[in-house]
Amino acid sequence: MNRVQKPLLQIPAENEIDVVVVGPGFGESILIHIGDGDWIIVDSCLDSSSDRPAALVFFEHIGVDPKRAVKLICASHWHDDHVGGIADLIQACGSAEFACSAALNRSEFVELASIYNQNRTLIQPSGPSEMYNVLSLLEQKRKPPLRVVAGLPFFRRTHGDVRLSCVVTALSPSNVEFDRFLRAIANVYPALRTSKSLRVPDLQPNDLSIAMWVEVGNLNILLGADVEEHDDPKRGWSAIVAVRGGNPRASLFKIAHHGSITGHYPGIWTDLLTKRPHAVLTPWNRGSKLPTEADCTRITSLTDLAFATSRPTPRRQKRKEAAVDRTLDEANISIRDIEPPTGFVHLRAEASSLNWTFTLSAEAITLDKFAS
Amino acid sequence: MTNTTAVSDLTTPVPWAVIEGKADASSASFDVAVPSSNLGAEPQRLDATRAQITARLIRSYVDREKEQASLNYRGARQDIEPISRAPTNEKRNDYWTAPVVRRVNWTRANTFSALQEWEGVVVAITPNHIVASLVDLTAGKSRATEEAHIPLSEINERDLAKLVVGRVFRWAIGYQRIKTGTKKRTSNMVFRDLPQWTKRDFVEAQADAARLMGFLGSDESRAEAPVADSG
Repeated sequence: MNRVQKPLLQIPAENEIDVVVVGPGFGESILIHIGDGDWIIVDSCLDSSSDRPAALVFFEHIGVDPKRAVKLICASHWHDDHVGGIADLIQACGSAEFACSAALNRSEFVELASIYNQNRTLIQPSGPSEMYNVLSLLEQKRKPPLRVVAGLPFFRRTHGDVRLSCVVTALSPSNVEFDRFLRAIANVYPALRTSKSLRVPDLQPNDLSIAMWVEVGNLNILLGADVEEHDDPKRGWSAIVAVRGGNPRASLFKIAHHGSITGHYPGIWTDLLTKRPHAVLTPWNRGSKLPTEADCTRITSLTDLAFATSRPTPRRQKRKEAAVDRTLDEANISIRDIEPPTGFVHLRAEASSLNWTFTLSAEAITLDKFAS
Repeated sequence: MTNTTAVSDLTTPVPWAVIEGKADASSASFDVAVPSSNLGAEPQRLDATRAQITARLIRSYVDREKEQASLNYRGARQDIEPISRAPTNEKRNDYWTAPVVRRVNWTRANTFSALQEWEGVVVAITPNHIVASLVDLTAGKSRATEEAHIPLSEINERDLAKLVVGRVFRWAIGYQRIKTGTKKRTSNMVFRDLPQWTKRDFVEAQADAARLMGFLGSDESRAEAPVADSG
């Protein structure tokens, strides 16, 4: 985050609501100032230049003390790209409550996290081992996690000024998805005497992701996490829209699942969002890249106020030892960076208004330029 | 006093000059250590080598006695290295002992000097390539910051069967020096099989999980979600 523009580095006023979507190309973290100096954080990723939780780096830049200011940290789900450095984040935000799906407090998942935490042979931490660290940390602090259940609020701040009252409500996972997740865990549980040289796979489809609705005064924000659509009225966006549709609409949307078609459902745009909402996505730069050109076209046809936190990464520059590059060239092996510098999209609104103003960091980009 | 001289190449005459520190050559005894790589595995060849060196040293000794000249080190081979305090059980007489030639494991071993190392995880497999995320170990990273598209032809055939998404491997590019001194640029991709999940891992994990569940409460005891109220 070295190239943060100066005007962004200002602490919001007490009556200003800020939403900062941070994304380095792998992972995301969403920081919301809910007024009066209080912040909530949804998910955690690592800043690509410092390897520290991106939220902490951002707070340092704007001069916020996370120990006092952060009231809630929520993990939308347990995949690597949403929990990177989250144990360090919880440690740094001493007064914050931690919330995660009730399914992650179940013995099935806790055993899975514990077994993968036993694997010291891999350099790279996994989502389950990070969650193990979180639960161990909370145990030390004697501070149990908030167990998030779809349809119920899990965070509330009452305030003398009603414009600054805040409620965070979970929209998913549905009961069906909850049960599917617990059954699916058995498939990734390692077997005795099998090699440890296998990284725990992400469960697909992602049944456990928590979409959430953040209401601060008159402002409504929809955070889509990695919720996908399955054409099943009891799962995914179909289930969410069926329950939530008709309520006040959100003017700001963190686009689900990195803009993928699997996270798209027309009802989101017709029943949950205002016309011409601000929409932000965090790109996915591994394996099959997201968003695709078709994804960008689809999203920009739904709103012209769509943004990405970072740019598509170019092919890697030759910067290693020349002999290494020669070897790679001879073998026809291509290597590319998958982590561009961490960028963010910053939106701000006064609590009494419905108008967002946006600012992009140097690495962020409007979505119409993402694919071009 | 025992001087041991390693001879790395038997095709050239053994230079007397490498034996150092003898005020009186007649009271010296010495070993000749021959790298096993120069001997092969056959005992007949070892015997032949022993005889050859003995004859050569005797001849050198006699010549030197005749010359009675001062030692001249300038022509010494640079690749002959002294080995101090080499163990020996051979008895020697007071006047002169023929060299003891024996097989030693002292060889110029293959060495590998890495220029770049990664830990990789297979994230996708196509008919022609694998896609792998890479942790740059050389740069001291602990998470993947690069991604490689690697042709299947670059992977050992015995490793192809192990290819599944999530498989972890080590990859190093660097220079390999082999015994002959040849320097070669190589790429080593190793799909490790070990270690394995053991019963102990599971027992410890279950104990950990039980402890954490004691803190979290039983699955059945938490029907309602608590709400944090910071108001």
